Amino acid sequence: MTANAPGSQRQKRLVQDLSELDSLARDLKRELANINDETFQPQLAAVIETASALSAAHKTEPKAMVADDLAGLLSAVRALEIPYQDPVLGPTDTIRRLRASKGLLITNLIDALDTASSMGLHPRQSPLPLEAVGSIARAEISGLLKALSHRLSEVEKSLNALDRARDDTRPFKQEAGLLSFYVGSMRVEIDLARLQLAVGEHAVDFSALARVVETMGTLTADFVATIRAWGGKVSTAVAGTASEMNKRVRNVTKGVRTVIQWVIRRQRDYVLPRQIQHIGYRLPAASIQQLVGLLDAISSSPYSGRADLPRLSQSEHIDEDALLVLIEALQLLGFIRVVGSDVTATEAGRAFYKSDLMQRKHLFARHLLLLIPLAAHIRKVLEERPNHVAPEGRFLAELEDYLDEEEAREVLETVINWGRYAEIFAYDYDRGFLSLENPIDGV
Amino acid sequence: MIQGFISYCHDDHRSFVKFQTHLAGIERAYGVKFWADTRISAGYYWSTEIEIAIEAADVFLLLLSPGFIASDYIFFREIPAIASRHRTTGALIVPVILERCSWQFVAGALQAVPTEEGRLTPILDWAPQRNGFNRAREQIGAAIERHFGLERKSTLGKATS
Repeated sequence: MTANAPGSQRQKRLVQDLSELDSLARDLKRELANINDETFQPQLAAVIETASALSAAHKTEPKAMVADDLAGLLSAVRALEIPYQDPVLGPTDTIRRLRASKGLLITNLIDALDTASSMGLHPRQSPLPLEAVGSIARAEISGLLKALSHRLSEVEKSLNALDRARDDTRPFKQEAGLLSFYVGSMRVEIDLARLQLAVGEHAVDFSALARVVETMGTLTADFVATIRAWGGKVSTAVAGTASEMNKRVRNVTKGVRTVIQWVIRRQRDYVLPRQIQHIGYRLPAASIQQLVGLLDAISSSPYSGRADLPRLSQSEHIDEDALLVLIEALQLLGFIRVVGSDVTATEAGRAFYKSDLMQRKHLFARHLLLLIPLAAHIRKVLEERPNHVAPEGRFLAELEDYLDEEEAREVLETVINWGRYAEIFAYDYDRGFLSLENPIDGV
Repeated sequence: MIQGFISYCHDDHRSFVKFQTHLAGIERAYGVKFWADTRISAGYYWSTEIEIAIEAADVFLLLLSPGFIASDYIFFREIPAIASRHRTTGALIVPVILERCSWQFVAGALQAVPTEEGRLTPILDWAPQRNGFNRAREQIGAAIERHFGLERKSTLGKATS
């Protein structure tokens, strides 16, 4: 039995494409010294560095995320705006060569993507509706871009720590190999993410950035799952750093997802908050104290029920991405509506502001049970049980049909926090049980 | 008759048994005979029998999990032998992701299954799990069809090549 066109031939072609990419990057590097434009020069340097890193990571043996990486680089190269002339020397041969090189780079990347595609490797399809997001003006999310850049540096610090921890892994060769693979792959993704943040003078291709961040998230979730499953075989230093790395990558992914949800909601020009359809909705991790504080701030002077998001971020000293988390939660709970960057308290939101503590709890409980299916589900399960008690694991298992383990725990913690405030159920921290002990009646 | 080989970690034996049940449909539809080392006991050793089975195989299914990657026997014996067979004969390798793990580390740029709407989800994360096994079976069948230029055998006829 002989096979059709062996995959190994296509792989050789992809390796050739990646070698050409490396060669093009080297040609471009030679031009760097002749560029005087202070905005463009670092952008081009970032493209070159990322192209070299991508080629180095895949050209010996392409990895599964090669299509994602190529698509990310292609998007950045397309966004790279080559100036028409040098600010010091005017039109130069360097500028002309750079224009030609950009075209060659794009052609090379398209060829490589085609080859990857013939091997069945396509850029991942994100669960997020990225096509609807596209580019976002830098001015709109400048604070968030700085925060993302800082979070990427934090991820890089953990990567460096993992790299150092490799010395402790000698007895278990797979661990050392996995660390090399993970660290190398993640460095390419960090380069790509930084590149997306750097290119584009007025706007950032947020869809491309989100794809890179999703790849980082998947690589890290796979890595952490492997390290955890290996248990005692893994060195303590690696296990600890992997756990820290997981948190740091999740901080990056959360920031990106929050912006995407905000953009989509803004585009849809919401009058009413979107109705959540199922219990597995990734509820924004907002604490009651923060929610009540923000709703009070919107409803009181100087806003008196209507606020502008950037101004609100400044006056309340909340980072933009943290603010968007709270905004989403208040929207889902029906206490505010958002049109463009304007936030307006709904009638219920205004009523909440004017109410005393018990009235607030009743109002919050009604909205929670009406608009948040997970809260309603927990309450229903507890009501149906003869002893009105259920272990948290029961709900975690249900949530894990929709979310990964950590997300499920985070969502459950959020709804417990909201539910306890509203007193629709109680929670025993020591035993991990939910119950109807001392719930409010008649909500 | 196409010869197939299933590489799996013995820690995943229970999942392997379920997987084998789902593969029966592929064996019937495409005339593939899958071989796997079904010894349950620990103490892995490189046997001539395994070596012969790898050398005869045209299709390899890697049942990936953290235990699969951690297994010295698989990592240092089976994977190199399978990769060598792939390089020399163009044999088909399909990574089947049983449990979340860094499968890319061992499977490189291969198209893994099971996916849904372009996204890879390990079989044990599907609810119910049988949907994951079913999806993996469909996608393995499609990969075999493409690779060998086969058509699914009807209940009355034979596969054509």
